[in-house]
Amino acid sequence: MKRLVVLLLVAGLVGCSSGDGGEVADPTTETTAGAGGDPGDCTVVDAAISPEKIDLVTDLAETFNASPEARDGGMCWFIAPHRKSSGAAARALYLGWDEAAEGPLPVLWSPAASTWGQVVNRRLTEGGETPFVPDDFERFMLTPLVIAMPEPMATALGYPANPVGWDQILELARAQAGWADFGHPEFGPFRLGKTNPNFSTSGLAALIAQTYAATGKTTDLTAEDLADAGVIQYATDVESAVVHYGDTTLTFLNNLYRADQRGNALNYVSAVAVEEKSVLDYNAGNPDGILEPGEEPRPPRVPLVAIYPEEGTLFSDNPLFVLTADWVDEDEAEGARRFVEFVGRPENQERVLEFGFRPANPDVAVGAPIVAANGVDPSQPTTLLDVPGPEVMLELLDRWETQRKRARVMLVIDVSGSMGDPADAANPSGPTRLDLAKQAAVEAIELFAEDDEIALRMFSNDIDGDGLVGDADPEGDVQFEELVGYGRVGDNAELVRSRIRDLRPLYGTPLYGVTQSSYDAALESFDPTRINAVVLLTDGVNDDGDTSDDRQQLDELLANLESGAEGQLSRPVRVFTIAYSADAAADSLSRIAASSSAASYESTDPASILQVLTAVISNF
Amino acid sequence: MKRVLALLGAVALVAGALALRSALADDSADVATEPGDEPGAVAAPVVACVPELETVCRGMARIFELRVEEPADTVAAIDSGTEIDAWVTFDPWPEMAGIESNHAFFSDPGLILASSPLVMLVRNGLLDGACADDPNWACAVEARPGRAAVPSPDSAVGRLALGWAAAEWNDVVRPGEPFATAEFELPEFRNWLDDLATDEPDPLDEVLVLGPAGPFVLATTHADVSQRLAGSREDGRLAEFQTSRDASVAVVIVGPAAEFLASEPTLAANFESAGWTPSTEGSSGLPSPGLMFALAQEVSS
Repeated sequence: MKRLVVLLLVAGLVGCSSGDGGEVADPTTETTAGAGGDPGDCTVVDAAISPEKIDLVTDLAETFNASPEARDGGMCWFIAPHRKSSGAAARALYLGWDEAAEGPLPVLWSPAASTWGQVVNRRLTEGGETPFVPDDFERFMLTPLVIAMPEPMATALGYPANPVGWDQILELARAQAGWADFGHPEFGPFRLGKTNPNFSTSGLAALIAQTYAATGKTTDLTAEDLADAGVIQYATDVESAVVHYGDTTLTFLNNLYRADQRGNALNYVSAVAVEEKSVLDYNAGNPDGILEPGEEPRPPRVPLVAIYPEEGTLFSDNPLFVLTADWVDEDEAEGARRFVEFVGRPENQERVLEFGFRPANPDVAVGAPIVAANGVDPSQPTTLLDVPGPEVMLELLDRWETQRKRARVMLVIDVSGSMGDPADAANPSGPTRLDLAKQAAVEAIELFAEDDEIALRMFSNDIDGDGLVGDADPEGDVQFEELVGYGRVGDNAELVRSRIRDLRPLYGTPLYGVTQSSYDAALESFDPTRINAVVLLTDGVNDDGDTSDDRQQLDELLANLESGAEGQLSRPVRVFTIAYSADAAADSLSRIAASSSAASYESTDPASILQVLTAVISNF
Repeated sequence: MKRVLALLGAVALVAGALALRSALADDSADVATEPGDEPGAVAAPVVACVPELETVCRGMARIFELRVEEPADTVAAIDSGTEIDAWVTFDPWPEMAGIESNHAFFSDPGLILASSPLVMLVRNGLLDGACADDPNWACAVEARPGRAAVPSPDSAVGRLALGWAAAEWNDVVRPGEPFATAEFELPEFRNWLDDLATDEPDPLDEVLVLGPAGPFVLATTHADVSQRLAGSREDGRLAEFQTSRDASVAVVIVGPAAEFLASEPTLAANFESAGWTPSTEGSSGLPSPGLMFALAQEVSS
């Protein structure tokens, strides 16, 4: 329960029912100004917009700001969108929006799903405050939660002729021989991708949908339902097939795409709960939905098929809330209402299709790219699930903590000399990087479940203190020390915390060698019933005293991780990396994570390390 | 005494509004008086309007303060002493409001302005056999439990649609038998009511936005269908039926300013352009106001 409370506090996610278009409910998401231009003397209408639609809304805001609709007599309005993930915005709204940290107070708020509004109002009411998210709002666009499956696997299940849903996912998860039990041994074990419901709206929508499927209901999910032994077993068995969790569906899609490009699409993950929009992006060769300059989308070799669960699903409805908070004056609200009316116009609603969403305006037809040729079905879904009430939602999340797949994680922390540098260069007498990392790591242990297993390593050169590093040490340079061996968090959390507190900065950063040895150690004690992972935190680049073989070391490491992560008989150990500070080798770390089909995280500002660690641990 | 004073006040407001209206006509000015305007020679009468009729009300809202709100909000406002000079709603909501509050709000029955048939919309191909050709609320709910919907009975049209659907269930399942609150206890009625979706304030909106994920069968007015379904992406995907129990919803305006507002020369045209037929006949084919009130209570419990 502690874990849940902390996660809720950090991520601000309590009960949102819909998917998120790959939105990262990342507490580190920066608030960045959207539409540029000079507002002049116009009334500025600040808008907090969830990341998956910030580009579209920014574009529409620019058009609006230059249009006659933004003017009325001597009045004019200027819409200023700011990127803000749904969970972070919700939390800021109900805890008290700090403009210095969160950006301007929003007049208009568009999270991924309208349930966020209920969450904020409920929290405000609990705190004795007046709710300010209106019940009456316009939807911007829609996308349903689907189960994305590589086409050959969907075909093997007989989809679409045979309906497929969570019951089939359960059968696959329970199958002792995996896909072999379904006549396809070549697909290997069944592997499910689901995000953490405390962080990701897609993850929460999937949890709700799978729970409804377990009950056979489509509405009125109750706490009694959740306590039913059959429902609990259903959930536990589905979770047992999970590859890992995480804060965003993009991790799965990016890893799947990389595997696909290597011809291994069928061995990474068999099914992923994502939004329909993400299937379109993936099949277009743009798995993260963002085209960087120079990036050219290349369709995958094996496309995904969007399966609309037979038992029903939920929509992400992207509401446009004109807040009734006391900081919103009537002039600002009028500007927001004008913009809402503007984006609902057919010509603007047609644009949401370009981004893979379904228009909310029913006068605009659902057309390309939402067509069968792209792996989706515009005539689906046909069953909509009811959003459970807040109490049931909390109970659902609470129970998920006991039902989710357990993890076996080795924490590997860099104690090189540079970790002793000030975290803030402008404050030389302030805390060091290591000080902040230790403090965050000690707190983050709380985020593991008691039945998770963790181990702790520190790494640097010359751990043995003989003053010799690399090949100069005739007895071999000692590059790491195992401070705590694997053990239940419930049993050794205090010991791990104590060892972390004792860490001191030492010498160099033998990054590649230690990553390899840590991976090997995790592989040696691989537990197939758990998520097996290494979490690597470093602020530097590989520095083992010999730069001549750095490239070779990295290539060998990447090849080992890749071969371990793929194949039917693989024993996947995921290496999640944290590039800590701007000095870290972010690119190498990203490649290391990708090679093990994990995810890399960046904490370029050391002050954000707790938030980053929280996001990393959301994978377990 | 308080009520008498309120009525006298309303008459004064109407007189003031008439004076203003006359002045505006003389000046050919196009001015709307809104709350918060500079206080002038007159105060504007306050008109409450149910959301289903917002378009029409806004079309006539040139010299009064308009409140677009659900019936319960209007009733609560009146109960708390807020002056409402006219209420544009569906017949017999004023009577139902009186039942709910245990006192009559308006001394006269008001003026009927327009009407529209209550209709059933069915997604193509989702009812079978006789129910597909000649649907009614008994077979449709049985065929599509949870996916056949009437608007929430808290909404103006929803309470009437619920009464219509329930009465038709009785016509079909218990032909010739009376239908009153005692029948609420019948197991077959309870099952039917449990299977009828009544949560959504606007099931047609769900259908329009969510397509086949929305209700398969729903109740609304023909006026609503003509305004919102026609031309939408769902147009042609649902069939409209007037079921065996002919029923229609009439728009009524009540209150001291009713006559003045009903005399708006453009009113009939406004209703027609919103899909309503000008009429002086009250709602038809519905159970008594008391029974509809009781049904709504039953659903909310």
